[in-house]
Amino acid sequence: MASVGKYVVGRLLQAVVLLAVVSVITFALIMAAPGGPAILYDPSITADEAERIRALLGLDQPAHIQYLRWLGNVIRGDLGTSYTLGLPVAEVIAHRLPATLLLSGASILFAVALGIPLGMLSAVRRNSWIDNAVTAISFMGMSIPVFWYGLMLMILFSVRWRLLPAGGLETDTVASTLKHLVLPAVVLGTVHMAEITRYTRASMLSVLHQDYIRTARSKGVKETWVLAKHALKNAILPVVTVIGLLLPKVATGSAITEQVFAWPGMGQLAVRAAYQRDYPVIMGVTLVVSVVVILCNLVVDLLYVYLDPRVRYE
Amino acid sequence: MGWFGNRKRALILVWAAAALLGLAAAAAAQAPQRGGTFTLPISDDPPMWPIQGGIYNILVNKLIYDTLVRYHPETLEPVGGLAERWEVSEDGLAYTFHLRQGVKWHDGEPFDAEDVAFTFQVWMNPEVPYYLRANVSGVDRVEVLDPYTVRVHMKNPVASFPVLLGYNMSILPKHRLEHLSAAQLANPVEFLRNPIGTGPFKFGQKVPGSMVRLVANEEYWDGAPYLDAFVFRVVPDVDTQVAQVQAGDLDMAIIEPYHLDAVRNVPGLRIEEAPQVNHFYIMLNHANPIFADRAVRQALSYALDRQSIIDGLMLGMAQPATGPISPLISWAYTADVVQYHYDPEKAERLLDEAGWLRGPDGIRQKDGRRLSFTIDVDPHPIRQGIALVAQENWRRIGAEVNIALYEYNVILQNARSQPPKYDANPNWLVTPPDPDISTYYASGSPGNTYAYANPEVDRLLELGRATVNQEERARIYHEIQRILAEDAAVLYLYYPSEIRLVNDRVQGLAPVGYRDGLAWAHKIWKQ
Repeated sequence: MASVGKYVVGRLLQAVVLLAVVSVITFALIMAAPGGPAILYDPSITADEAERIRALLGLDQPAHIQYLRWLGNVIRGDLGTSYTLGLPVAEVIAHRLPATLLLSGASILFAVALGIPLGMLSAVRRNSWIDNAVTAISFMGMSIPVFWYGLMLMILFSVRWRLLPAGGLETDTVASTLKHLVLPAVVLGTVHMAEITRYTRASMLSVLHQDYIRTARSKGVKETWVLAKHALKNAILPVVTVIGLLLPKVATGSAITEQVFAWPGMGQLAVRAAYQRDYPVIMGVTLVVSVVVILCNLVVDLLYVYLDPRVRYE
Repeated sequence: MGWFGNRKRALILVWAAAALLGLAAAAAAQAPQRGGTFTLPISDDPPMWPIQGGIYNILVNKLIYDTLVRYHPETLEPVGGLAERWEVSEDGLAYTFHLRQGVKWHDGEPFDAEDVAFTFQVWMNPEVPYYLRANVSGVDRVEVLDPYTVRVHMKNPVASFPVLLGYNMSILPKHRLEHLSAAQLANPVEFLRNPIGTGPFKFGQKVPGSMVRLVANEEYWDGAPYLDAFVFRVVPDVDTQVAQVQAGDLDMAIIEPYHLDAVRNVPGLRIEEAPQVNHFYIMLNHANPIFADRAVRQALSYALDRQSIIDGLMLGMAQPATGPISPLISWAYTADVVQYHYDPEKAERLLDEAGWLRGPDGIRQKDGRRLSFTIDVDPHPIRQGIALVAQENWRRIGAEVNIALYEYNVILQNARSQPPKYDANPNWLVTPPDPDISTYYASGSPGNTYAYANPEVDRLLELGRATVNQEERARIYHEIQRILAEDAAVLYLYYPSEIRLVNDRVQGLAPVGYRDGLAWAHKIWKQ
């Protein structure tokens, strides 16, 4: 276990370097992009005023000075202040992150809860009508444009049938939170569910042909036990990879789904910040998301150690 | 009289009762009812700070704060706001504002001239980045004559000054902000957690990224609002806004013409068309030698089928535009200018006469230069549609026109470069209800994104700005409109109506566009 501890420490050190690299690249991209902070281009603003605002925000400094200033502040725990919202970036992110975690968490739960059983069913009943139906659904799920899908569900469930609210998030009661959560979680989860279904099916199929499965069956082990203990535990590895790739989205959110459902999350924040060139927010969001991605990858890698005894880290 | 007589009398009584009931119902239907919440969508989180811009910020500020001057809800003439009335000296160099008495800030403190003087200080402070600083560039100093009288001394006469003071220039509370430094005033974080103003609605609650809830200011000086609360919901996507109005979650949304088919004749909703001070145009970069040639500009204008744009893209919800001054500013507007009715043959003649002759590939050229340029446009369906129509129209008269897609942010930056970096661009302009367009047409002005320079127009613009007498001003601006139309400085397209999708229960909306109309939010009520 000591080796695992060393492994984790090593990964965390790597993470710091990785974060620095990501921040430099992001900053360079921001500086290279045409256009500037939206506040400078208001139709009423004079050239003098624009210059003054530019100086106040430190945008007249050379790029590397601006980056070092940002870095210095970050090390001291200050992520800066948003140009358009007027609030500290850390506060803005702290407000938006829970909403995104909620939505992404719910969508991943939905995707896993439906995807794994459907994938298993599909593999076990290969080439039957069940398999064909599940395959068709997963292909549709992967190809469907999220924007259209979200609006269609909204038109049906909110406008036509008045069953659910048309977007937004109100957390006064658990019931109201859940009601607002259903549609966007299903929309976001459908794509993930499709992916997980396909991966589970493929992985299960390859495992089900292994010798040890044939051995277990010939030993007379009950089929469900064969599936659960032997097949699933081994088939789950690639699926864990896929889930691991999805986990970082827990923090980034999906910009499109959040836009359509007016969900006050990180995705919407990132898109607005990008359009308005709200540099402190863009950098702050990138930093937070990078931290989450790195941590999630670490968790997934540690999960491998648990799931697959063949995996060892030096 | 017997049975028959009684029945007749009974019938008369029933008729009378019915008539009375009808009258009562009609009267009740007209009388505003108190109570209810009005929910309006905005596209982003508002800072609620009048020193910053942004349409979503401006809308919310109209309810929390007041300005010295307001615009009449139908004619947009300047009427009394926090200033009951004002006078201007004969030379136009001194404005005396008589402030309303008995007005209170939302925290109960009294409003007086010190607040106005303080606010002017903030506006004029060079260390505070203020996006509307141009509006006070003519101010020399502010004098407090007594607790309810303020005199503003001007460096030079600015005839539009009262109108400008009504353009989102909210008065700020001195007692809450005077201790802040200039850097803090750029963004007063603590104050903005619970902003106070003198406006018809008080700050109630804010859920970042989600909504702002304002509650009625029962002691508002122009009468307590009929509504209990006003909620601004952050809904960035227009289609989602439309869905929410249909679902009853929103009371109103501003929609585009292409939404009309889906929402016409939906029970419980109605569509309103409201005039606004806004015009759409295709701007041309005069720094490009092609567009420096007036004949080219005029020809392009004649070759453009504006009516097809109005009918096909705006679905009739717009009036053809003759110039940059909106007909809403009725005293200054004139239609007595050259109008470029669709006439492609005339366009071709103009180009031929000016020496732009068709080359072997059908594209016109003159002195070795081809009539070839690019329309920059942002990915909005209406503006893209305009670009496509223009491209097609102009191809027919021998111009080679390409279309390039850019983010709006980038288009703005390119347009405001000196010299501007584009060829042609469909755009729009929303201004205060005053004809002073110096910012946009005076040579060298930063808002003049077309590199247009006409010394006669410069002279008239300066004169119009300085002339206080409205009749004289009108004549000056009529002349300016004539020259701009003759010059085809930019290609004016249309004055768009604001199209509102409104819940039928909502009454009392000001009949002008909500950018100005929301200053009268205290008159809105719900059945």
